[in-house]
Amino acid sequence: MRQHKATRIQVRRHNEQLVLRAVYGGLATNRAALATELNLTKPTISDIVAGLIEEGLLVEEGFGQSTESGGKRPRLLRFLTDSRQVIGVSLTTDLITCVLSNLNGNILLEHHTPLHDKAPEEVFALLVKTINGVIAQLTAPLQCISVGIVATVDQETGTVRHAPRFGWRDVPLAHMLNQQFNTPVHIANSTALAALAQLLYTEDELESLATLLINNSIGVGMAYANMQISGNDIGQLVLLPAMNHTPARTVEQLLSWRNVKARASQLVQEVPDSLLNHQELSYLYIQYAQAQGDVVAEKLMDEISNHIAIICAWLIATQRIQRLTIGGAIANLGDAFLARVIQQTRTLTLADTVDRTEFALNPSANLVTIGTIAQALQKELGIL
Amino acid sequence: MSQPRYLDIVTFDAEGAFQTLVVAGVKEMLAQTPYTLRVKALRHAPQSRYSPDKNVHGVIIIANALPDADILALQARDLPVTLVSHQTQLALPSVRFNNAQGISLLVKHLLKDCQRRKIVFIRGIMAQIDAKEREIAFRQELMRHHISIDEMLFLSGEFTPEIASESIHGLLKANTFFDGVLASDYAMAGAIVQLLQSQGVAVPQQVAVVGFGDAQEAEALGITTVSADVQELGRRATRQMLHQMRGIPVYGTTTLSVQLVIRQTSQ
Repeated sequence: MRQHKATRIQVRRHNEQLVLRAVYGGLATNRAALATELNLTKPTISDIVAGLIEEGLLVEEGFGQSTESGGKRPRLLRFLTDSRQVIGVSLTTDLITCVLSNLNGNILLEHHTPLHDKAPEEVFALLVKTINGVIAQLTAPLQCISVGIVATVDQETGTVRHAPRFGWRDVPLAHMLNQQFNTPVHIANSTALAALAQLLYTEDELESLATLLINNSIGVGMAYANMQISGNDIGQLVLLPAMNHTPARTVEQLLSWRNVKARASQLVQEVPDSLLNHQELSYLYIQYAQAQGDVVAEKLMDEISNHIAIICAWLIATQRIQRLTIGGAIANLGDAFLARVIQQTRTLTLADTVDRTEFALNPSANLVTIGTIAQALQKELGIL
Repeated sequence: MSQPRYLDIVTFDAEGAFQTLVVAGVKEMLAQTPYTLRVKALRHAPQSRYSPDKNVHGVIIIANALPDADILALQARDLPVTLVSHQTQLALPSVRFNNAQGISLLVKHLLKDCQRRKIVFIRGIMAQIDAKEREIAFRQELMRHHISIDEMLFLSGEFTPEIASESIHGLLKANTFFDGVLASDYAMAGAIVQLLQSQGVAVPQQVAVVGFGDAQEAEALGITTVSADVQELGRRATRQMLHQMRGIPVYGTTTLSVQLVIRQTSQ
């Protein structure tokens, strides 16, 4: 990691974030307590607080109790969660999903645009128009835009190194959006943000979490308690090598939703009275059919869980993971599916290591957008 | 003297409860702008087509009041268009409620809080996107909770209380067992509660009843609903429209959340 000598501005910004975090978290809610808690001088704290009050992020409200030695009652400080709003954006091959949030992470509304059949060169223009749709709904000044994308991302520069589905290489997306909207922009890989969302917004205190996010794209993301995140699209990885005249199969060819549907169609031809011979196929419906004893659904669920188990085994064998989640629409396959994944994973790597890992499903469609909000609040205000 | 600047709302029925609240929301947002609101109701003149004059600066269309061909004609005149609870293949900015979230809240409440297992679903007008989405979401929630889907329990309602009542009456006459009703709007839910009680069926003890959308009438009748702030829908649609009228290109659908409001019909 490159290190730079901190400038005065950077030091001030860092201290501002410390103050905001302390007030937001209830750790210290007056100037004297902040100075003690953060080990900063009282004049420094007063100066920072004055600046944050002027910016509208803090407000003085009420009085606290005097200290034991008596003296003036301190003025209490409150973080104004509605003073700014944040836009979170999830960009996948099928959909642009945006959320508008206040500074407490409360989602005020969602906004989305489908991307089916859109040429790569149309994607940026559509992204701008979609974000315009959210900006139309702002009821407070915009703090920043935070983006999760199915791509390899250089988080430090906000550059999309490679997004094969959009035909993007070394696209300075953060800079482009910053120029368009005149606001700070943060970019990260989608699955990394999905992992962050699950790590932060859980009742348990976790040291590490890995997530396998499966929709039409498949990604792996990691998040750690120190807020480090990483992730990437793994669709192009070969999961089953070529064998006996059968070509190699990639993760995407086996697990993307469009290919699962194609596989279901294939299997249904052998069993025409299967419940899966149904127009509106979904993972929920596969789960429902499997619970009804449908043989095609049973076989499909077996195949899917076997493929996923291979990825889980590699993750568990190579990473220190406290919790491994399977997210995206595939999580709607339910507990019977998860049990198969765990059972199969135990046969592919050291069973002890698998048994020490917590597995969970997370079918929420909002993992990435929640992660974008978490990223925004952390990077802009340091409050998470 | 400067020309008037109009924002037109096009709706099939300007007097419906839903439409009235949308219009109220739009009116509220326009109060501080130079635009004047006009409401064009097509119900009483279904054969006539909506044709905006040159003083119209934007058009809000409610619930499939105009066919796609007419909407395309508006776009060809560079008129900004925003849709409210409207389904179309056209890529136009729109505002809707999160139907899936609302149905999920209602189904979970009936299954887990009220321990019901045989839930009747009362449909809306199936040509409208809200009605379609609510039914799809209902089916998905049954699957999610491992409840068998019984097609006999999907009944017609057409967002019309009398039709909904009639449907439930038919089920009672056929001695079909059910212990819960989820209606696609609160007005149908209200009519169903009255029908059940008139037939000696205890609500909620024998049948719990819930509906989508909330208003003073739902509160007065004690109906459990998911609260969908329709006036806010109008406000949000206006924000979108004002942005477009400033020449800013807008794409996408804004979806508003709903909240579960538990009252006597399911407690």
